[in-house]
Amino acid sequence: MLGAVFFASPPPRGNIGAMTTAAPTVEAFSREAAELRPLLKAVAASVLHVAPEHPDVDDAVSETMRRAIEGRTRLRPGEPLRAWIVGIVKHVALDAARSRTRALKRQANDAPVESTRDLAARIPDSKPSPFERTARTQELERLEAALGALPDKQREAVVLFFLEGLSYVDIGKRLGVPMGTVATWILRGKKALAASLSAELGRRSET
Amino acid sequence: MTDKLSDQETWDGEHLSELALSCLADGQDVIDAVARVHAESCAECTLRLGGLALESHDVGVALRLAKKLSVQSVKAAHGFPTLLVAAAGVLAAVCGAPALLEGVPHVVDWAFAAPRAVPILTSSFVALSKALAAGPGGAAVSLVSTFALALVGYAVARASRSTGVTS
Repeated sequence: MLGAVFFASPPPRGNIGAMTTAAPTVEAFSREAAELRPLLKAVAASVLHVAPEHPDVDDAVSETMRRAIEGRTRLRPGEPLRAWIVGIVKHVALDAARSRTRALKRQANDAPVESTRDLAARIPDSKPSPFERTARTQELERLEAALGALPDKQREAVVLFFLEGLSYVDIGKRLGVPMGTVATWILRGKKALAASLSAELGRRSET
Repeated sequence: MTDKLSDQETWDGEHLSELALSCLADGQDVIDAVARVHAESCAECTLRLGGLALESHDVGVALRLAKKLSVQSVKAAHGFPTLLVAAAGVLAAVCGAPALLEGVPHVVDWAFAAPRAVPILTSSFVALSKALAAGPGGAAVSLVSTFALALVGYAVARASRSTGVTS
């Protein structure tokens, strides 16, 4: 009887084993994410329009790391960590910038406390409206047109980098051109494609 | 072929060139350690790096979304059985042809009869609806009609969602 109870309950060793298996995953993830810290700092500073040493930048980066580590299971297989974590820091920094603007406005105007209706109106709708969907479709059409307007090799380099996930060096080998040429093509391609996008699309397309 | 940017490509005076910062923003290990340290310690280069990383991120997200949507639209286009529907239409036309041809001589009669038939049919429908609503099954009829309307609305919403842009 006692034996049955003992074996029916999960053995403590199993839990310890599960923790030790999970721990390196978190550790490895944290290490990889930490390597991106300088880039995250740069993005946060850029979004917040402050010097990289500003405390708000550190706060945003720390919050990003926390969210990334907590939500690491949401990172889909094959999805690049860099793009995913840059998306997080962008949102965190934008939230911080909005909070700062609201606080400044409140201080400047000595504004009355917001009503429930005002607060409710500020809650973003998770689904895009028909107008937003139409605007997004038009923007994506412009993006496709801009991509189509790139010279063949340049377009190929952009597609191989952004959609196939190849490195500049590998793209250079595949297309038979120096890596510096690939870097230039991708830089020009990004500029052309970014010009076809509004800042709004980048924000909305992540939702 | 070298795997690193040359000094000329990397530097633009005291600061990093846009090309070098773009490589860093894209996570490419193609600049030397000195340039990397500079990017982290120089406020101006850090801010430019952040801007380029954001630009790269937005372009990447939009391109992946565009690819996803174009795959979806191709799937949707392939999903509709155009040939089967056309074949069914042809078959129906062939089968119905004799009956339709038989009715051709009566078309003129129908044309004259229709203006008289429409008011009669309408008043019959109104009378029937009133009788049903007044009777014991009135509530049931309203309920069934509402349910049918809701179903039709749901079907239309589903159809428009599957053909529209998804988030």
